[in-house]
Amino acid sequence: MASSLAWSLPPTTWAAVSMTETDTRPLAALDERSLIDACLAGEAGAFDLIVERHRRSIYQLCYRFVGNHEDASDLSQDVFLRAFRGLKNFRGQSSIATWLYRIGVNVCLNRVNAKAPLNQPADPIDDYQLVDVRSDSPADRILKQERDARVRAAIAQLPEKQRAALILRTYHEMSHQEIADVLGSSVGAVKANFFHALGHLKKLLIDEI
Amino acid sequence: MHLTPDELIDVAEGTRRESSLPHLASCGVCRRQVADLRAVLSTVASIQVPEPSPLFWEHFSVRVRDAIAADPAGSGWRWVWTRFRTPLVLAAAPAVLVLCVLGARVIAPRLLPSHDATASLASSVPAAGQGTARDTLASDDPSFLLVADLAGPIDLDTAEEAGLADQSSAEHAVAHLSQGELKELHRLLKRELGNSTN
Repeated sequence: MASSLAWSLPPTTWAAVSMTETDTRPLAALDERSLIDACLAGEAGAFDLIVERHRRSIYQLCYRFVGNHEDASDLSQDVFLRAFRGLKNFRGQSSIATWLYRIGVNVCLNRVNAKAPLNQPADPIDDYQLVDVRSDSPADRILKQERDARVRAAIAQLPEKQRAALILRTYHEMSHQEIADVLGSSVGAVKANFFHALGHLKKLLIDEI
Repeated sequence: MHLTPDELIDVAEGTRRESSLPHLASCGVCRRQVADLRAVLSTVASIQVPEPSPLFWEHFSVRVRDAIAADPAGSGWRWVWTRFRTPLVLAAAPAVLVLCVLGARVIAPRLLPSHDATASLASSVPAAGQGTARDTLASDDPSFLLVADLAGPIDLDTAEEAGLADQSSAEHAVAHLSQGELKELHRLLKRELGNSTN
C-alpha cells in the first residue's frame, strides 16, 4: 500500500514521505548526516531531497558566475552529479550547503577557465522579466534590467577569486571563514579578495554608483 | 596610518563599529573609502537572479536523475537499482515465468524417459530368481538406487501417516484384511496364478 502510494506521488513528495531502512523517520525529518547516510544506503528519494533543498541556491550561484540561464542550468546539474559521485567522501565536517558551494565554485571556475572570458551575460533582456519588479513602471523596469545587466557584466570581468569571494559573501551570506573553506584559502585572503573585488567594481561601474 | 583592507571591509559591512577605530574619525581618505565600499556593496546586492519558470525545477530534478542514471562512473546503476527495484522486479517476473514454462515444455521432456523408454525399462526387469529389479535399475541409474534406499525402510503405516498412501489404495485394503479374508485372497490369487501359468 505504501509503495503504491509512493509511486503515485510526484517525486518530490515521494522523497519526503520515503522512510530509510535504518531510520523510520520520514526523509524530510532527517538531519543532514542521516540524509547522506540514507543516500549511501541507496535509499530512494534521499538524494532527490538534497537536490530539492539546494537546487535554487546552487542555480543562483552558477548564474552569478556565468550570467545566463542555459549555462547556469547545465552547471547546476553538473554540481549535483559530482556531489552524488563524491557522497562517500563527504565527511560531514561542513554543512551540505557549504560542500555543494565548494563543488559549485570549482565547477563554475573550471567552466569559466575553459571558455572565453564572459564579457556580458548572454540572456536577452526579455529573460529577466521573472524578477519581481511589479511595483516599478515599465520604463523603470527596463532601466533596472539594463543596469542589472551592466552590473552582472562587470562582475563577470572580475578575476576568479575576487568574483567567488564577492558572490559567496554578497549573495549567499557566507561568513569569511566559510568562504575560506570553500576556496581553500585563509580568512585574510578572502577579505583581501573581497576588498579588491569591490574596488574593481567601483572602477567598472563608475557611472552606476 | 590608514585602515587595512580587513578593517575597511569590517566597517563597511557593519561587523565592526566605526567607534572602535579612532583613526576613521580623523581621516577623510578612509571615510571616503568606507563610503565607496558601502555604495558598491549596495549596488551589487540589489542585483537579483532572474527566477526561472516554475516548471524548470521539476525538469531540473528529472535531468539530475537522468544524468546520474547515465553516469559512466558506475554508481548510477546502483542508484537506478535502488530507485526502480520494484518495477524492475515486476517487469522481470513475467520473463522468468515464460522461461520456466519453456523449460518445462521443451527441456524437461528430453530429460525424462519417454513412454518407449519406460516400456523397455519394464521389459528389462528380470524374472524372479534372476536378481532384483533394484539391482538392475541401480546399474542403469544411481539415482534410482538413492530413491530405493530412501523409500526402503518406510512401511505402509509410515507412508500413510505422511499422507503418501491413499486409504482407498490396494495396499491399504490388503494391510487391513482379517485372517479369513487373507486366506480367501490367497486362495484366489493362487488359482489365478495357476490359470495364467497353464
